Amino acid sequence: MTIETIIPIPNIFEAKRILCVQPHYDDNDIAAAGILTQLSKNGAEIFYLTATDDLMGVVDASLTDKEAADLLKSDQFAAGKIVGVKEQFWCGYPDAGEYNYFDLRRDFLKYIRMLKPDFVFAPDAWLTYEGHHDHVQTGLATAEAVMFAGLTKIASSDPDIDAAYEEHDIQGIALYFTREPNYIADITSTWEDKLDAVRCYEAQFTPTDMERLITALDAKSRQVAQGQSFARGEPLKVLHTSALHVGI
Amino acid sequence: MTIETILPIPDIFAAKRILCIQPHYDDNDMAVAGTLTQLAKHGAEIIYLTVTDDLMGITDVSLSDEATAEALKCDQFAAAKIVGVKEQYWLGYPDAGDYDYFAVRRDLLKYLRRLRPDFVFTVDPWLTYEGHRDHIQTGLATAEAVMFTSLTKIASSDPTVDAAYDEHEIQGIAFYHTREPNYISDITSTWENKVDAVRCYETQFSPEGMDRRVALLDKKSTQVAQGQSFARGEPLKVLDTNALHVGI
Repeated sequence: MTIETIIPIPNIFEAKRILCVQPHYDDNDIAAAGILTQLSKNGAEIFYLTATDDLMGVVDASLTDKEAADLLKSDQFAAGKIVGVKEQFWCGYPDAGEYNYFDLRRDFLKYIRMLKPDFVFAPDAWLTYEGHHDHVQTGLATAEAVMFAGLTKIASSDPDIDAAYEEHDIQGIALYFTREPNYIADITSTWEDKLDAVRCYEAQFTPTDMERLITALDAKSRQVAQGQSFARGEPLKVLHTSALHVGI
Repeated sequence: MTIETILPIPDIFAAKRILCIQPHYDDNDMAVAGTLTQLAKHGAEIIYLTVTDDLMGITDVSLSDEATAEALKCDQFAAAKIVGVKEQYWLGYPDAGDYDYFAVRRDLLKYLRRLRPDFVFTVDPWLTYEGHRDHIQTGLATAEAVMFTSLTKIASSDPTVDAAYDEHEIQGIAFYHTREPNYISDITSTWENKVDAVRCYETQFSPEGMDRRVALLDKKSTQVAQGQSFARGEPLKVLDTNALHVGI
């Protein structure tokens, strides 16, 4: 028996400003480029915030860190154009590294108070069998930062932003990379855009690995659409901000 | 498929001394004031232990920390009278703060060895989509402290308490704020007491916020009683102490 939230699921298509917090440079697009492309076409402003520097998974190990960082950003901007991302921000924590959870939360609080999104996307930190620490940390810190955005006694990493902040309403959070979706987004119309965006991430995939990833995404998009009235989907756990606490 | 424990669920009504360990000052009552009121009426000694200082979520931010702490305690004592709480203790860790898990666990070991409860209530740290780190830390540290109470080589924060400790049996643990209950407590007869107790927590809720919270609790109590023979319930995951390890 699993008890679901009694708070209605907020509608992501009502969001005007969406902040998508990702552990690594390609997570937002691999998980949700289909739905995010639709949301940007629908008029929402889409912002990406990347927690780590992604320097561990770079294919060409001969690159300096500076060259790798430039290449990663160039991939991100190319994909951002396809999806319709308005602006991108980076926290620069070491990829797969030993960074402090509270530093991460303070930085997320800063960007949430600065950008004032009305919806936040992030990986599902409660995804069972997720092995990557960066994903769990990013998902947990995003959830707490969303809950605490209005409590300025809890400081962000930027006192000026905290002082200038006026409380705003975050309608909800959409958790991607989830095994417990309550919403399957129909991405049939933007599947090709998603593929084009994902193919931009060349710095971290060999051509062969990229084909494997596309094949896996192809199969997954059909699997999650089974029993739906459409062909391809992206699974999301969409929760009201108040549903992030005590299971209400 | 999820495999359940093979150990029988212990009867909370057989408990004589119950220690209820909460992250914040109102969690025990928000979650289980209905059940605890019944247990107190049934003759059990109910003791509350609060892990954090609750200084972040207060509605009147102009109050000093000392004035806030007093207002919080005053709320707690008023609610405790209704529920029938015998004694209260506080650890004072910073609300939503960067405190050490092992320090909390040592303090919990101290109170478990000193108070010798035969049942422990706390938050379910495995509640999926619980964003509040204080809840996860409190639930995990309580579970470990319950398992390790009689292993005095694992030191508590008070060597005198450890030296004086004679082994005793903790029959079980009841996790509240759970999405995976194995026991729905019938609180129809104590629902009004619960609402009265919850309404005492004025320092952290505006009048409108409190009405919203009571309305949510109202709805949740009827949701979890669906399919039961009673009108209102509180969901619990009740486990034998030995079921807290290796899924036995």
